Order: sequence, then C-alpha cells, then structure tokens
Amino acid sequence: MSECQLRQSTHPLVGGIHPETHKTESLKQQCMMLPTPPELIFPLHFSGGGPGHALVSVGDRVQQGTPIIQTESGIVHAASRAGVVTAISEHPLAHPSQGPSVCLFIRTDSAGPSLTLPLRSSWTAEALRQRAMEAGILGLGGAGFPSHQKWGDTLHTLLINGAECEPYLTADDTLMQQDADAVIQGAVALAENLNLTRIVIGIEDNKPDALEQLKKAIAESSSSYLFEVVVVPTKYPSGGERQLIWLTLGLEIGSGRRPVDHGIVVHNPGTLAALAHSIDGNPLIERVVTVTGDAVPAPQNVIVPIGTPIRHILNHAGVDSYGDLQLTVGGPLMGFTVHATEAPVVKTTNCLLLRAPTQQPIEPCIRCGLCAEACPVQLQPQRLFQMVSHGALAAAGHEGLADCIECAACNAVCPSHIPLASWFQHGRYSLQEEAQQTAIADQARQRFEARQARLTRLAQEQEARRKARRTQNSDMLAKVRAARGAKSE
Amino acid sequence: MIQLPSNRSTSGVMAQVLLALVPGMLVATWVFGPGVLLNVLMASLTAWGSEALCLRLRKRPVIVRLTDHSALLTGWLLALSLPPASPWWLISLAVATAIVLGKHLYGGLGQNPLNPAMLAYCLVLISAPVSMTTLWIDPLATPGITSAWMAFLGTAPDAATGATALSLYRNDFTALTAIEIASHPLFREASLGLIAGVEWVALAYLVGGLWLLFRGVMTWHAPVGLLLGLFVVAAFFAIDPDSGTPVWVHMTAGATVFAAFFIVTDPVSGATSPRGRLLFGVGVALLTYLIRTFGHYPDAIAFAVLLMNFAAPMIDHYTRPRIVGRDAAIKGSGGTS
Amino acid sequence: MSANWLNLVLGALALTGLTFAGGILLSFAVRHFRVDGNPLVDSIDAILPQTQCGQCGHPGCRPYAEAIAGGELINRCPPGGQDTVDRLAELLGVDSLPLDADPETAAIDQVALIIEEDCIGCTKCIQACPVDAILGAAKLMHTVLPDLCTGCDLCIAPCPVDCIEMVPRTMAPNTWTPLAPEIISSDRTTTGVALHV
Repeated sequence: MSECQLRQSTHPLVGGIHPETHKTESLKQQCMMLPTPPELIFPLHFSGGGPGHALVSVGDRVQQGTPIIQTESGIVHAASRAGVVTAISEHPLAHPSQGPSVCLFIRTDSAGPSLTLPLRSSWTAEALRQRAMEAGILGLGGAGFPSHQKWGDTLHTLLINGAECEPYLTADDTLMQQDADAVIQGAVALAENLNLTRIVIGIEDNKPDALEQLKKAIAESSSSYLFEVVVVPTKYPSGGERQLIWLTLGLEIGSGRRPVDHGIVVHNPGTLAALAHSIDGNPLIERVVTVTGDAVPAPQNVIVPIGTPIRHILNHAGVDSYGDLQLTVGGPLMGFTVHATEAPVVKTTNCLLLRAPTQQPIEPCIRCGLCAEACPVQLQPQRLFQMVSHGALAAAGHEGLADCIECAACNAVCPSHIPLASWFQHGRYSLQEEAQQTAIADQARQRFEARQARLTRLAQEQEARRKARRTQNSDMLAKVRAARGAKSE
Repeated sequence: MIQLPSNRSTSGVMAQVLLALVPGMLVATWVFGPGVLLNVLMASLTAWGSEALCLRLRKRPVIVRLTDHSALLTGWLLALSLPPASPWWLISLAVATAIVLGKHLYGGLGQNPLNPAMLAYCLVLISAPVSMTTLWIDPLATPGITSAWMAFLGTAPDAATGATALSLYRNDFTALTAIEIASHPLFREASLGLIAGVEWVALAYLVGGLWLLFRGVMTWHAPVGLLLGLFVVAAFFAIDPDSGTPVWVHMTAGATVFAAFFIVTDPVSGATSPRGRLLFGVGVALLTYLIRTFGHYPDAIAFAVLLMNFAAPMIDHYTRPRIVGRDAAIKGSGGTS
Repeated sequence: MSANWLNLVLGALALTGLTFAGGILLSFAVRHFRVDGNPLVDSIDAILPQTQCGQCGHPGCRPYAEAIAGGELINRCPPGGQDTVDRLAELLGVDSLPLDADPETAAIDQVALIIEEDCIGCTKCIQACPVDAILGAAKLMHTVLPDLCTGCDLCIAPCPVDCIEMVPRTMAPNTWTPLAPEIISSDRTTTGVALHV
C-alpha cells in the first residue's frame, strides 16, 4: 500500500495572473465516450513525433489499434477505430499554421476485434521506452514531446503535472477523477523501471474531487512508493513545467537547461494513464477533450477517438452553426485560432473553445508595466516588445527572449490589448533561425579553411618531394658524369 | 495567442485619471477663482483641436485616437499647473506645444521621451517669464467671475494676483525669522495651519491620487519616491527653522502633491520597473529641492521632471529584475546563461 | 610691448608642450592598445554566409571580407541576400545598397544533386567543392551531402558529363513559421497599409 503525504506549496510563484477560471460549466456533465464518427483523419507530419510516413495504403482495411503512421522519432500512431483507408491527401489541420498538410483518411465501420500490444511478465526501462513508442505515447499536456525521449538513466524524480491552470480547461481534472488508478499505475511503472526515488504530484487547490480520487488510488496501489501531493494555489501559469517545479520542489531550473538535466521528469497525468493502458496492451487512441465556451450549449468533457473532426465533437455538444464564432484549440491563453472546423483532433488537443471573437482593437504601448508584473519569468515584456517589433532581435535575445515560456499572461493584462506573446513567439523563432544559419555558416567556414590548409599542405609536400627528387637526380647526374669522365680518360 | 477579453483599456485608464483630477480642480476653483475652469475649458478645446490636426496630418484615424483621452489629460494637467489668471493665449500655446511638440513629433501616444505637460510648462516659463511669475492668484483675495474673465482675455490682470508661498520664501523672507514669517497673512489665515487655500488644493489632489492608487491605476513607487524623498531632503536641511524653506512648505506649496500623483506617474516618460519608479521619484525630489533652493525659479518640478525623463532609460536598464533561471538581469550585450 | 611678446612666447611654449604630451600619450596608446589581426575583417566575415562560391569576384568569403574592409562594395554577395547587405551597412556605418544580383535566383536556397546513373567517377566535382561536401573517390560513385552543401554551384561546370544539377533545398514537412502579428490594428493609413508606430 502506497503512502500519501499531503502538503501545501511553500514556494510562491512570482508574477502570474488570476483570470476567471470558467471551469465549472464543463464539469457539470458526466464525461462520456463520443460515438464513433463516420470518418477519422490522421495528419502524417503533424500527429506528434515529427514528420512521418504511412504504413498502410489506400484501400487497406485496418482494425482498431493497427499501426498506420510511423514518425521520425520512432512514435507509431494507431488507427483509433476499425475501418477502410479511403484516401491520403491534403486537408486543413488544427494547428497554428492551419495546414493544409497530407492526412490519412479512414472511413469507419462496425467494430471488429482490436489489435493489442503483447503483454509482458516483467518490464525494463528499455522495454518501457519501446512500448511507449509502439503505443504512440507523447506528452498529452499540449507540447506533444515523445515521452520515451525523456526517460534517460539519470532521473530521480517524477513530477505529475495536475495543475491545469489555464481557464476553461478541465480535461486533466476529469481524467484524474475518472481514471486516477491508471495515473498512479503509470507513475509506479515509470518509477520502478527508471529507478526513481521520488514521486511528486502538483495539483491546484481548485480540484478537490480529483485530489480525493488520487488519494484513493494511491491508497489502493500495491506499490510501496511515497507519493508527495503538493497543493498549489490557483494562479496562472502554475502549471508551467518550470513554475510547477519551483512551486512543488523549490528548485529553479537554470536558463537553457531542462528538468531532465536536473534529474526531474515532468508528465501530464493523461500521459501516465496512457502508459498504464499501453502496458495492458492498448495503444493510445483516445483522449479526454474539454468542449466549452459561451457559444457551446452543452459544455462538457468527452472521450474522443484521435482523428475525429472537430465539427463532429462540436455537434455532439449542441453546436449547429458557427457564424462569426471563434474556435480556439487549447486554452484562451496558450491556444490558437483554427478556422476549419473539419480539421481533426490530434493527441495534443486538450480543449475546444468556441466563443464570440475576442480580439479587441490594438492600441499603442503606454509602458504601464503591468505585463512585467505578470511575467512569471520576470522578463520585461514592454522592453522586449519594443525590440522585437522594431527588428532588434539580438537585443531582445540579450534581454532574455529565449526564456519566455509563451504563457501569454502579459497578453491578458495589457490595457492596450497588444498580442505580446505572439510577438515573442515570432521573435524566438527568428532568433532560432538566425542561430541555425550562423551555425551552418560556421561549419562551412571551418570546412573551407580545413580544405585550404590541406591543399596548401599537399602542395608543400609535393614541392618538397620535387626538390628532393631534383637533388637526387643532380647527384646521380654528377656521379654519372664523373664516371664517364674517368672512363674517357 | 488569444486574449481573455479584459475590461481594462488605455482609454479607461486615462478616464480614471481625469476623474481623479476633478476634486483638485473644484477646490482650486473655489480657492483661486473661476479662472481655473476657464483655463481647463480652453485647454480642452486646444487639446482636441491640436490632436485632431496632428492625427489628420499623420494620416491616422482621428475619432479612435481622440477618444483615448490622452490629449485631454495633457490639457487638464497643464491647465491646472499654469497660473489661474493666465490669458487664453498662454494656455492655448502651452497645450498646443505639449500635444504637437511633446507628443506627436515623437510618434504619438506611447512614444514621447519627455512629459509633454512639463515640456510645455518649461517652454512657457522661459518664453513668458513675467506672465508665469505675476499671474498667480492670492488665495485670500479670490476674484469673481468678472475679473477672472478679464484675466482670461488678457486685459489688465488686477490686484487679485499675489506671490506664492515658494516665491515669498525665495525673494521676501530671506532676512526674516520663522516667527516673523508666521505672521504673514498667507500663513496666519491658513485653516489647516499650513498655507491658506493652497493646503486644501493639495489635500484634494492627495485624495484623487490615493483613489487612483486604490484602483490600481498606478503603483505607489513614484509618488512615494517623490514625497518621501523631498521630505527627507528638506527636513535634513531645515534643521535651523530660521533659514531656508521649511519642510511643510516644500510639501504643501507649489505642485508637489500634484506632481507626485499626476506627473511623475506618467508611464510613457517615466521609468517602468518598480524600483526604477522609486528612483525616478527620488531623483525628481532631489532636483526639485536643489533648483528651488539654489536655482533661479521658485518652483522647479517641471525642470526636475524633464531632467529625470532623460535619465529614465538608464534607470530602466539598471533596475531590471533577475530573470528566473539566471543569476542576474542581463546587463547589456553578452549576458551569460 | 614686452608683456605682449612674453605672452606670445609663453603661449607658443604651452602649445608645444601640450603637443609633445599628446604625442607621448599617443605613442603609449599605439603600443599598449595594439590589436593583432584585423577585428573588422572578422566581424565582416561573421556576417557573410560562407558559401565560398566566388560570385563576388573573390576566391572565398574571407578574401571578400578583407576587400570590404579595404573599401570594396558591400552588395556583391548573392547568397547572402539583401539581408546581408543591410547588416554589413549597419556594421560599417554606411548606407545600404540594393543587392547586385537577380533577387529571385539569389533567394532560392539550393543544393547540388548528382544524377547517379550518369556519374563516371572522375572526381572533378570533388576537387571543385570548396567545403568538401561531395563524398566519393576515383571510379567510385560520387554523392553530395546536402547538409554540408552551401549551394555555391562551383561543381556544375567541371563535370564532364553534366550529371550535377541544382535543386531547391527541401525543408522538413512539419516546419512552419510563426508570423509577426499586426502592429496597431487601428493605426492604418487611408491607403490601408499598416504604418509602423
């Protein structure tokens, strides 16, 4: 039986904001499974894990769980429901770029037997990584990082990110209430195989039901781990990786370094639950999605097969016409607008937010400094905005632009409604691109100089050899002449 | 990134500041006469007019920018800083200078390195020194509407004008002791025991400023920096009560309280970091004291503010907080990670 | 009268003394603050794209950097694009110039591609490549390593069977660019173009 140690966070978060949470609406209804949609759509390159290629062809019949996409990182995506592959062609995406990109289309039909992954009697770290790849497990918290890449040999602490600090989002809350056992099982499996010594759960104080369920699951778990449950005050962005590490462990991750460098691995509870299910043989083919917003008649959480078109889910929640409404995938701060409702849900889709358009007219910056107060990294967004919007990217880099976590807390407090985080995202991307170009140029310069040195050295050696030969020849000639001279005498 | 729709806006902030000026404006009218309101009216009209003209010349949308109230605020600040018996052309010139020279030539809202109101005040002070020194109303002889109107038109500003407390201390009181000074009507007639009339105006501005602090429109750093800074410096040098201007005169007279809550808190031209704002306020206090005591002009807030405006970028640079995850704020180029 | 002459003499002496003092200071400075090499050339070279293609008329990027430090025009590098010209202008404190190349062809990021069916293994392209980006040996297949290829196209001409061509560099299929947001949405001119604040 596992032990649970409950405590409050003793390291307050600097900066941050307290927006209205809008969470109660979507928690009223019971979370159910969405009925299978007629068509499922899977982007080849944007399902998570990098660019991929199709493992099946048009016309193939697939079962639920059949691998259909293999990505560069080793992640394999499986068909969420049985059906026939009808096409591989371009389609809009639920992605900031909007797509279109190549997608695999499956027309679903009646469920047959599903394909499962083999069970094992014992597990090792390597076997766990392999299983995570085969089951298509990546970070379900939004970034979609292939989970197996985080599971190195130098880890000692697992931090379960149950904060879910962004307004409107309740998917993790729902998952922790309904599937807490799987979350704890996944955590234990990871801890046992990676030789972790500490399991910490960070959870916001506005989730009492989830906390209860977690405590129950911990009590019923057959492992002997001590679970430290740290309750953090409700504040945005307490769920940011670095912020939560500070809140729960009191550790500040250095700029440019990652939590795994400090031996800490942070996971979304959904990712751990998916790991537990994959150990039982089930690849990751579904996730909890929050459907909410003022324009949704029946806000709720729903378990969605990956690849379901967004429109289908919105219809299920009572939406029949879209008009001028704004669809946000993700939360109101870190999400992005999507224009095509026929785009499919992918593994990182945690929320569908349908509201009246929210962009207010943008005004000039008056340097009020509210953004600097709100920044959880203690950057100076008003200075960074000045630099990035005028193209002074190097200066912005020196002021710490690379440390921006793009939480958009500064957006939320700006009285001039300036989209600061979008500027910083653009600036960071430009800086990265510039750094890449410089690295390529440096490499080319090095190779050129090495080649020049080699050619010079070869020419010198050749010259030296020629000189030696000439000396040898003239010596021989002298000897021959001398011999001839002696002969002719 | 999407926003959460917020009810905060730039025009809302400006409107609240305008509201906070109203108590001070009303009390100033009561103490100094209807000239104050006439000045405010003239300033408002000039502000709107010059702002609209500049926006049209710069090909910007006029109505949107006018309704952000920033021009109106500049106008009101000037109208309440300039002498109550000023003629209409003085007010108009000052406000037009502030809007055109102090704001739009630098690129409009959010771009001015100097406080536009203080820039115009200095310009008028240096260009029309006689008007700026002789048109202050004596609070004990508040004029009626007729003489205020005459003063507004610029014809024969009459005996209702008098010296201010600061100019008295500078020019007339140098040979007097504190007790002799106390018998001057300006101090003897003071109901709060400070300076007649002026003390009420300062109190009204204080109320307005505290309300703005309470509403979260501004932070406390700049006002506290100025008030505390001036208090400490003046108190230090006023140990001998017979020499120099006493602390309470420094704090009550002139534009001290007004500047503390409405001038040094201008976000565009001041410092932006909290520590920076504190230093900004203290800097203004020090310079004000120096210029008032050793300089040519009785009141020095405007010059002090302009000088500190020049220093604001450097203050910002050196008061950046430590970035989370680094050892220090990045100072200049080549910061280490 | 003599007082005036004295002043004149003293003045001349003072100025001469100051000049000497200045000269001594300068000679110390020249020795003490000497910098080896030419840091300006290094800065210029750091901006150039290192394609080593020779389109500027110089045999490589460093010779062009040295030429620029000596007064050469800054707009002769097509692979660097207008961006490089602007950055050089900013570094040197001169006005920027338009790029001295066809902007459309200069902008495409290209790599060389060897058509392997036609390659005869002559190593002429290997010898021509300034950054050793072609792998191969005599009478064995040659191939271009695209990550090392800078797109300078110096290998095209030497090939006796014309089996190398330049193709656009392929980006990974999941790359995308976050665009800069609008500046002030209400700050548009009457012509509809957003002006900078």
